[in-house]
Parts: sequence; C-alpha cells; structure tokens
Amino acid sequence: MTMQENLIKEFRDTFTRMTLNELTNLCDIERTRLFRIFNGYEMKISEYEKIKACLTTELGNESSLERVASDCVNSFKERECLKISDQLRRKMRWLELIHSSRKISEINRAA
Amino acid sequence: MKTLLTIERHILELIEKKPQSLSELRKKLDINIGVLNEVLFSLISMRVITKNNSRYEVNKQERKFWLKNINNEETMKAEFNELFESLLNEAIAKRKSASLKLKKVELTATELWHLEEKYKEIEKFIELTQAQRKIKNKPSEKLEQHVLIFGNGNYQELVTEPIRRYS
Repeated sequence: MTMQENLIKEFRDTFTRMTLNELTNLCDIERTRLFRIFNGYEMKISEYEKIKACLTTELGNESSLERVASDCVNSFKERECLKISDQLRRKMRWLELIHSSRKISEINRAA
Repeated sequence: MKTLLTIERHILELIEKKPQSLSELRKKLDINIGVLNEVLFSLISMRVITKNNSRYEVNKQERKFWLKNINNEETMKAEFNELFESLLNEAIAKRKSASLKLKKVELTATELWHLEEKYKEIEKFIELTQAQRKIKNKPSEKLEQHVLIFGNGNYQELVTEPIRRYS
C-alpha cells in the first residue's frame, strides 16, 4: 500500500460518520477534489499535508520519533541525515536478525 | 552494500582465521543457532563469505571489493559506536565481564605526557601477549577475547565538537 493509500484509509476509518461536505470543511480541500482523492486520484503534497494535519489533530498520534525524524530531515544536512538513518537501520537489522531466527526456531519446532 | 553488525564482524573474524563448519562456530559462540544461521546467510548475501563442502570460508576472489566496503571510515565508526554502546550498557548493568571508567581530570602537559606513556605501556603489553600467543602453544587457562577502549580528549574540544559539526 502506498503512503497515500495508507493515509486515506486511516482518514476514512477515523472520520467514518462525517459526510463528504463535512470532510471538505475539515480539510479545506474542494469537495470534488476530495471525492476524486478518495477514489484513487494522486494527491498533491499540500493535500497530503492537510489530511495528515487533520488526522494528527484528531488522534494526536504523531509519535515523537516521527516528529523528531521530520525535524531532522528539515534541519540537518543530507550527510547527517544519512548517518541518523544508518544508525536506525542498524538497530532494525538487529531486530530482524532476532525475529528471523525466532521464525526458523518455530518452523524447526513445528517440523 | 550493508554495513557489518558487530556480531557479523565477529563471525567473519573467526572464519577469516580458518574455515569453519556450523558446529565449530556453534561451539565457539554462545548464540542461538537461528541467529548464527541468519548472520551466515547475511555474510553470504553480502558476498563476504562462501560455503564450500559444509565449511564457511572467506570469499577471497572478491576480497578487495568487500574489504573496501566493510572497512571504510563510516562503517568502522558505526561498529565502534555499537561496541561502545554495548560496553556502556554491560558496565552500567555491572556485568562481571565489563568495566568502563570515565574520569574528568585537569592535567598539565607533563602529566598528559605521562598518561600517554601509560597507554603505550598497555599497547606494548597487548602486542607482547599476542606475539607470545603465536609462538607458544595455547595457555592452559581458557582464552576469551576482550575489547579495550582507551584514550582521552580535551574536554572543552569534545563538548564543542557537535557545534563545529552541525554549524
């Protein structure tokens, strides 16, 4: 699923009871445009940001990691961002190593 | 290319000494077989090692290529950071196998010179021990690999290093 599809799904799941008109007012995106986006039209970055902002306000769910990561991308030079992402990737690789090995153990146990 | 995790580096070092079978590696390493398999798979996919007659050995044909990748400054820094973090965590958890000291001291140039002489003594001790290990047979006591980290830095320069780096 693309980032857009993920966002739209989350948005529709969150605001299930609202009408298209109400959603239009909430996001400040034209009614026809929003209808098209819901039906798979590719959205502009500004529209993505508007919808994301609505969700964040509603759910208050922007994790601190996401917020910090976004600040890093906007503030640090490319080289520093690369170092940070490399560090996170290494941590993920440790996790993958442990998870994959657990899966193998489970398969062996089941066999 | 992916950088090496410390566990991958450790296993590569063992294989580099001499080709190893899975059971030989298991005997030497106190890790879960699944993790060991995953590490070996990862090293093979990075073309660092190969499997030959059920023994894992270093990929000598492509050595130049992978050596350049795994020994560059950034990957070495990442590995050092990982080792240091583990040492710090183990030392804080007060594990018997780890100790770490951090001291902030004011030193004159002569005292700093004396301190650096002590480092040289430590280095000599390490070199001598390793040289003896090559000549003599294995000692009767059990051998365990240890990591030593030592050095010092000007406190003022260390605390202002991020300012220079991020400016």
